[in-house]
Amino acid sequence: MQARDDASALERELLARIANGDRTAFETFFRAYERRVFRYVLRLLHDEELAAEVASDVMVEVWRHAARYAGRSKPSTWVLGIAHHKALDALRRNRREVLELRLAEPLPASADEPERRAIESSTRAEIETALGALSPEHRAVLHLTFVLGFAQNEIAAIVGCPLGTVKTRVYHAKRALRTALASSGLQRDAS
Amino acid sequence: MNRTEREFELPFYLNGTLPAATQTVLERELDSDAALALELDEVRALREALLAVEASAPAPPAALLAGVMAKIGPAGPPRRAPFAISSLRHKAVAGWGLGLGVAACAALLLIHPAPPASEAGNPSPASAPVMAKVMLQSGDAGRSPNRNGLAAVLPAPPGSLAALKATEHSARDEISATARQLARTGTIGLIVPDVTSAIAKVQRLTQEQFGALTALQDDAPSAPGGKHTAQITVSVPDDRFVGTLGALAALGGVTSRSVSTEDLTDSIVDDDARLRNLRREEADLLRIMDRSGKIQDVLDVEQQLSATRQSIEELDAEAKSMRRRVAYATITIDLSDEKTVPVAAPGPASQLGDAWRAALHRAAGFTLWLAAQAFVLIAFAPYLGLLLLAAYLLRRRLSNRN
Repeated sequence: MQARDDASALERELLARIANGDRTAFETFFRAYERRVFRYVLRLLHDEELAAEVASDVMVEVWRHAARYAGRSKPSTWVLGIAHHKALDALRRNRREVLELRLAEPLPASADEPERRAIESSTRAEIETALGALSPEHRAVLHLTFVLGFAQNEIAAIVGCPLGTVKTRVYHAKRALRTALASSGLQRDAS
Repeated sequence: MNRTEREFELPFYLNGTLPAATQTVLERELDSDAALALELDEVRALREALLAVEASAPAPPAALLAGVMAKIGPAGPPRRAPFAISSLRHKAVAGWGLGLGVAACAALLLIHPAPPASEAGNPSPASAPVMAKVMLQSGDAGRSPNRNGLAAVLPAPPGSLAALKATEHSARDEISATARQLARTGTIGLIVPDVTSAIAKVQRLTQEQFGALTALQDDAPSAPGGKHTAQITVSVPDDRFVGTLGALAALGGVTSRSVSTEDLTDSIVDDDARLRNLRREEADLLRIMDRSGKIQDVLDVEQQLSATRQSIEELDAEAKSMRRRVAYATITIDLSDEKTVPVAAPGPASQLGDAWRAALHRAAGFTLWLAAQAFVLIAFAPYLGLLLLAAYLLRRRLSNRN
């Protein structure tokens, strides 16, 4: 928890410097967030090229509007909030193409772990397919909770909904994923 | 707290973000409720599955940073004064602005009445760009300005000329809204007391500016009295270009200075648009390949795919190179020594030696000249022989007459 607070303090300082046009601070901030933002957006969009475009837009937004960051929330909440809304906008714009052509496709595997990919490919593909069957909102809360480890109130700030909605959404997303996994025969292994 | 509410808390119990009090209560419940503990195990299994999938998710593209840096451009700081329409005052100002805008539009419409119905759906060429601009701003890019007929609501198909133009236009608008993509180069000539230490200073300065030394040519004097010169090329982030030039100028006496700029905006926009279309084409070909049944069809598509991918790689490399040139400015520094090594006065032995060397040099030169003349003589010998023969024959004939 202390490490998280230290990281937040450092990120706040970086944002203050970015607001003053410090490109070096921006590069440091970018390096700290590019992976988180890209993967979160990719989880919502299921399209690497589009995810890269949206992640790029998010970071440009951070550069332009760093002065708007008021410090009421953690920098990660602020950045992921921008990413969430940009990703949903992109999803709405590309809904037809994304949903019809790419949503059901599993995410491409990382090229740097070929052995692990080979071992896990079947399980991974099934989980990806199950996630692909969920709504973007459900995928978002699952990712924010289990992968990025955000608290309930932080998720509420990121996705822009009341705290109660976050609780029920995570609950239903979890159930939907479990049902989807059960239908693909993975439930037994997962539990 | 009922059972479902407790279940709501389990994911956050696992990710360690529950408040301490809630966590204590939940742990107590978990000890006493076996079904809840089982539920917790299931949630934990789901979490591990998601984390495992995440561990092998693709990394962001390597060129993401370069792309973002090019988008934010070399221009100075971002907008500092935040315009948050949160206060009532701002809302009132915005409301007045909107109202005045609407009133101005209404006044314009009254002054210039609308064209007849037949013209309304078919704008004149002069009004078309204005309408296209308005449609672009209102998010209708890609739709035909003609509001009659089905074509008006259909987006342009990807890869078509219209789509390409729309992509180019939107990219161009986006890029001009941020900054022009300028690649800057500068040269500076400096006279310094010591070139070697100046090289070290330039290296240090470049590092301080987050740049890199890309080329160095150090020409130390080969003979006493010669000048020590060096040429260094450095690459620095574009926003530090002017500062670096200023800092370099402080290293010595400036003998020359020049700055040139190349506008790469259009080239970058064109390349981006072409890349986007080629990537769409690649995706289309992949889908076609998945559907193709005959081997010949698959081979044909594969061949086309290979050509498309080659074009993508070439264009991508070109685009990366241009973005790098925009993100990093190049400065060439010509360093020159200001002092020359004093030449010692020559002694008598040295003077005699010099005289002897000069005499030998001249004798060698004369010998060479003689040898050259001999070669000339040999080369012209046939002609000389003919001349002598002609003279002999002439003389003989004259003597016979006499």
